[in-house]
Amino acid sequence: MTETPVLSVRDLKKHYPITKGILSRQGGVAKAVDGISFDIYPGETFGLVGESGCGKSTVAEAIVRLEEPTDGEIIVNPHGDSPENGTVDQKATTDAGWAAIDRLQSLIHRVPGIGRTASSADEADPRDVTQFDSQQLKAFRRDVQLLLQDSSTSFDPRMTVGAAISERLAIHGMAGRAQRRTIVEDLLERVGLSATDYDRFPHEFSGGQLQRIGLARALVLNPDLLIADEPVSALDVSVQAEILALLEDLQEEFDLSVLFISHDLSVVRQCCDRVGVMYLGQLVEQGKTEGVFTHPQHPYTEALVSSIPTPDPRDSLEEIELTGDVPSPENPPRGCRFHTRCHRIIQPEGVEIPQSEWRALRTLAIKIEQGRIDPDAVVASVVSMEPAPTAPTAVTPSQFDRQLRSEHDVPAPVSDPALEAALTDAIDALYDRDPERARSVLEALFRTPCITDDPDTVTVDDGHVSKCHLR
Amino acid sequence: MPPEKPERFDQVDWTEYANPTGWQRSTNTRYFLYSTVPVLALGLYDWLVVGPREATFVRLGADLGLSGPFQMIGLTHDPAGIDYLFVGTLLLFVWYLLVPLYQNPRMTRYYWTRFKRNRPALGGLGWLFLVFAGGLIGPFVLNTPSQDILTAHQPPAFTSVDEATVPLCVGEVENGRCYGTWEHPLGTDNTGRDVFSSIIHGMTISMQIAFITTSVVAVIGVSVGTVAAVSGGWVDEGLMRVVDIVLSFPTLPFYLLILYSFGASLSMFILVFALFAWGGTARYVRSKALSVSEAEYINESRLSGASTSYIIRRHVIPNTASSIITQLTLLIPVFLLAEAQIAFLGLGDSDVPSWGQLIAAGRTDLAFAPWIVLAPGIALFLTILAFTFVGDALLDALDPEAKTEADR
Repeated sequence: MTETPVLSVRDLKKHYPITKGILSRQGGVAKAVDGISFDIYPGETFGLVGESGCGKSTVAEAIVRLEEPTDGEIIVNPHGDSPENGTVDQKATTDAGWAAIDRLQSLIHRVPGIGRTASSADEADPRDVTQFDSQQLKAFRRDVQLLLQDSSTSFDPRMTVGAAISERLAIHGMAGRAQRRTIVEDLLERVGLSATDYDRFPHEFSGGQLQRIGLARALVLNPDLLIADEPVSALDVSVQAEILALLEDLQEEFDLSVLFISHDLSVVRQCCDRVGVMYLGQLVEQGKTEGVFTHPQHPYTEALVSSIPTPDPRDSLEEIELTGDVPSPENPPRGCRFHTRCHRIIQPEGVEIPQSEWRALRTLAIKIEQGRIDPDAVVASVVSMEPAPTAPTAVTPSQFDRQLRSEHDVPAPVSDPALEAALTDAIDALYDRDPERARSVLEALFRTPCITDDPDTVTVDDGHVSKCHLR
Repeated sequence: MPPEKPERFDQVDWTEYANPTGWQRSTNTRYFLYSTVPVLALGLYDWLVVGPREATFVRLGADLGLSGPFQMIGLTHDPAGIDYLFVGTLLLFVWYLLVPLYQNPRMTRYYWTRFKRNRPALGGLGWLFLVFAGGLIGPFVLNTPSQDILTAHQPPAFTSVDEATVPLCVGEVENGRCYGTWEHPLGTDNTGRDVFSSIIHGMTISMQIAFITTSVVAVIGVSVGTVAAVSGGWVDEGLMRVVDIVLSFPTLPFYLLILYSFGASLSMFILVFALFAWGGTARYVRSKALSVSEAEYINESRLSGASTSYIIRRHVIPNTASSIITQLTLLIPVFLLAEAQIAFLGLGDSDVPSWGQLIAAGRTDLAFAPWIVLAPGIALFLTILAFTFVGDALLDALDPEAKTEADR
């Protein structure tokens, strides 16, 4: 694609500090969004999917600067302008001298340790949203609009919906009351309501109607990019379809680009041109919707796609069930972030056992490594299984071993003798209340690229990229 | 070529529109400011030009050469400082409560249908309307009751007392009993003042107390609460400690101290009590403003490019203000009772014909002339009850959470 993207997100990061104790010392950071890059081209719908808590909404909030991004660039090109005559950087082009000073200042600010860390070391892009001053930001607010999930809470209950929409026109300087009203009434009719709804209050509308009004409010400033954050998740299915159809019509009519954020894959498949899959603050795969959905390259995408219900009973695609817990963004796993749950996790060199066995073994190993297995709890469950009353001290190592394995679906023995020896060793160490030894035994054995290395982004075919060691 | 004034959102060329800066006053604020100008001007005139023993309007008539017409319509009043304050708060009430209600008929109807469900509150509202109208118009129609020792202790209409208790019976005397007349429908007190017109004049006092105290409490409480909630940090901390002081301040001893140093006056009472009553309101507004500023529509508004001050004025304050109306309505009875109690103890302003003063004047004659205490007592009781009922109904009508409870 040679077109200039409306929006380019480069290595966007948003970290939330986690404060602990009464003195609010910083204890760590939750990496809600950790290095995300994508482009949105004019007229296109880009979908962002992922589980709840993977950072989709944070991306939206960071782009519109509702949350200040920690790092990265967000470059906007409204109206497809080239950087030389961009409308947003009036300041930089009006006066060359001032522009030079600005540049100097931004250079000073970008020296690591003084200001923000330098992402593009030499020069700040004048179209970078993260560098906008309040004046530029206000102009930017016209070009990019956010549509939120639940319109019932996003309207001031004491303002008529007409006033809520025309308020935006007034904020941006349209003083004529009658003109504002004409524009808003016209827009209300366009989204399928009537002009007389102008004077009604939010509580007089249904959820679907309110979402239409929310759409009208997002459109009234004639934006180039609409960020729709779960726009239909709060609605029932028939209303969802109406809103999506409306969105599509409006998009076609007004040449709108849309960033569509959703956890609902069937909706994304229906309405997006391209799609990005997010996992734990990172994009694991992106590409054309059809390509991603029919030939998912990343195991996580594969699992997500397999979970979409299909109407065809003969469909051979088997549902993949992800095991393990979603890791906390505060302490994401080393290597590939998905390895703790991946059903295709690569086996160490020289090991060849059934994949399901390997997965179960890994899940148990991760738990032991993270110290999440309490030997006393295992002993207690052995005791509770015994028909006769048994003292906890009477539990033998082999009973302990059996219980732990059955709790985690690990077969006894494991098909690979080396792994079996190591696992037995580790479980014995746990039985001896020596988690340190258990951890070191396991860590030495499980050396696979998934755990040790962060995967690179690999291009599969035209615009289809995936972040996995398998490709 | 686009039309002169585009009528579709996608035809608007935003570069043509200037970016509004500075403080944009809403229409109502503008009208409020306009309407306070004559009041302020008259107040200044009264303060600077009119002598201490002159009546303001008499002097004004003389200065304007309109003495004749002024005399003819009976405009010979001499408003005191408290009257200017009263008019000011009335203007506040009109421009920020009545006019917005009129401008949003749908919203008004919605609240009204919910308010109507509470029958006692409807009655209360009717009574308050009577008190309000009587307090506003009464003093212009009825003269201040004059003392006449000969007509003291006259009984109300349809009742009779022993002839021996009245110096001179205005009505008929039958079988040694003096009967009441329509000349004094509620009788007279121990100095011969008409109780009915005293009660009407007392309505003015009660309304002045109600309006001025609530306005002072609302203005200070809303400002402090909102500033605390929006600023956060040490500003919030500091303001809330001031609120703690205000809440724990011994207002009555302080009032007594002022009373003994400067003498009693109604305006002193209102100011002292109002200035130490806004603590609760400020706390309430702060917590409400904190929850409102978390709402989605505040984010939405910020995303539209609105400035923080705009969001506070247009979204935060209106959404907190409607919920403190209830609180303020329930605060009024406290002030009315406090005034009556202070007057009853003989610590009030004896020049002011308040209900409390009337009750205090009648307490010695309770044995043979109970109407002097009963009539203003019942008026006070009904007014306090009415405010409480209306406050309850407003809570149900204005609070969205109360809706689910009522509909259950």
